[in-house]
Amino acid sequence: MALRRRRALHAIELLATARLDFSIVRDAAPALARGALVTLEITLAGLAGALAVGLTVAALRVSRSVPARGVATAFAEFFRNTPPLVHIFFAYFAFPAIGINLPGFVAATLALILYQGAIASEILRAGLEAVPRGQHEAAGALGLSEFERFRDVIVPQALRISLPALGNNLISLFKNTSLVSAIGVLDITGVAQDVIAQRLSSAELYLTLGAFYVLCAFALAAGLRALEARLSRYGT
Amino acid sequence: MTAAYVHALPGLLGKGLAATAGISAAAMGIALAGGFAIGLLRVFRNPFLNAAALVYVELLRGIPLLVLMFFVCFGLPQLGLQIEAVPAAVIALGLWGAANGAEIVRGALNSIPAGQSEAGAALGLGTLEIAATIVLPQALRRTVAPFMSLFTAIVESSSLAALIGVKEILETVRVDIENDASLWTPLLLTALLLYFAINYPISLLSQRFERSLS
Repeated sequence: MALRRRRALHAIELLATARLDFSIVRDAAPALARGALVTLEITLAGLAGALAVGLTVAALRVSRSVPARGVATAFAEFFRNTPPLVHIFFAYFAFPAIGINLPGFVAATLALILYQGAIASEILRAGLEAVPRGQHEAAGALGLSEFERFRDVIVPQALRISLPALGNNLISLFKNTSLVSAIGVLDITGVAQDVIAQRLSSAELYLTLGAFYVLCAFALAAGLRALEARLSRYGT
Repeated sequence: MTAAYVHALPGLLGKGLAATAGISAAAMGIALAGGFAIGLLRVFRNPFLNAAALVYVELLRGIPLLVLMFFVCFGLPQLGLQIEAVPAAVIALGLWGAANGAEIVRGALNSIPAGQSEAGAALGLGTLEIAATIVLPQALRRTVAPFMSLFTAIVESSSLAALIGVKEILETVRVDIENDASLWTPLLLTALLLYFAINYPISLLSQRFERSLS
């Protein structure tokens, strides 16, 4: 106990005497803001892409075609069981070998779309399967075609059922955008690393970065909760 | 290229794979111990401990693991705390895993219907007895599948250690490629297959376990 107290005091002492100088963050603020914008862009593009990929793959996974189900399942299992950082490396460094040269921003966003899309497909498949059978039958009785049934009756309900899990996936995507800095994309993490390399001082910038991500993740979570509350008024 | 690829394989399958496995296993140990400790704190009624646990979980789940790892490895030295790359990777992964583990434990404990503890109380059992003999055993079973998923997430995330210079699978690939750029595609594919070979069986097991509970 005494030892722990001494250690705690020591840590406080270190923090108090550490030379934390946040003016470095102030100087870098315009660059960091530009980086935050890139983070936002990748998150938005990733969200749209991951939803499109997720919905397509989920639809294939509940379809009657055996080959379609097999391909879709293989895609989802492969991408969600391998690291997104390696996907990003692959898209940026290995694609040129087969003649595809993508700018870092595009390669990284594409890789994140495939990873988060694979996870979204798992969520949406569960959502599609959770829509009661009677809904399919009722929509069929109304004379809707198979596509109309899917688009107008089943998908909206599946989306509402999946919303909490999809929200978590969005927050995970937002945090994973920091990985794009590994191939030199100047998102907010990339900008911070550049500043650190020039100024040789890092703790202030990492603390600022941490605060940025935590606050944004909080805001996202709050927005998603509000959306859930709004949609639940219509019942499931 | 084929010869160079074959030449690079032993390092990847030997030291690289061993480092990934070792870092992931150590981090998983921290995630399990920390997850249970913090998860239990969150269901106790002590407001101070509860709030401390909540802040820990929310902060560590809100920060990208990459930023946390950089902070532990490069930021802490400025505050007087030097940590080598491998321990820094284990600490960052473990702290992050513990926050996610705490959410798993809390979710499992909350999923046990209140009627279970009420029934225990009606039988004349004390609070501790109810927790130890009725609630915990049921909750424990519900943590197994999510903890397996967390382990696959830790294995995936251990690749971030490459960015602080730990020679795990991805960093081993990067070093080999510096000498021969034509190795990018085959070596990265091999790395992907290695991660998949570790994670897919665990992921299947987790899905099977989850189904057996419902």
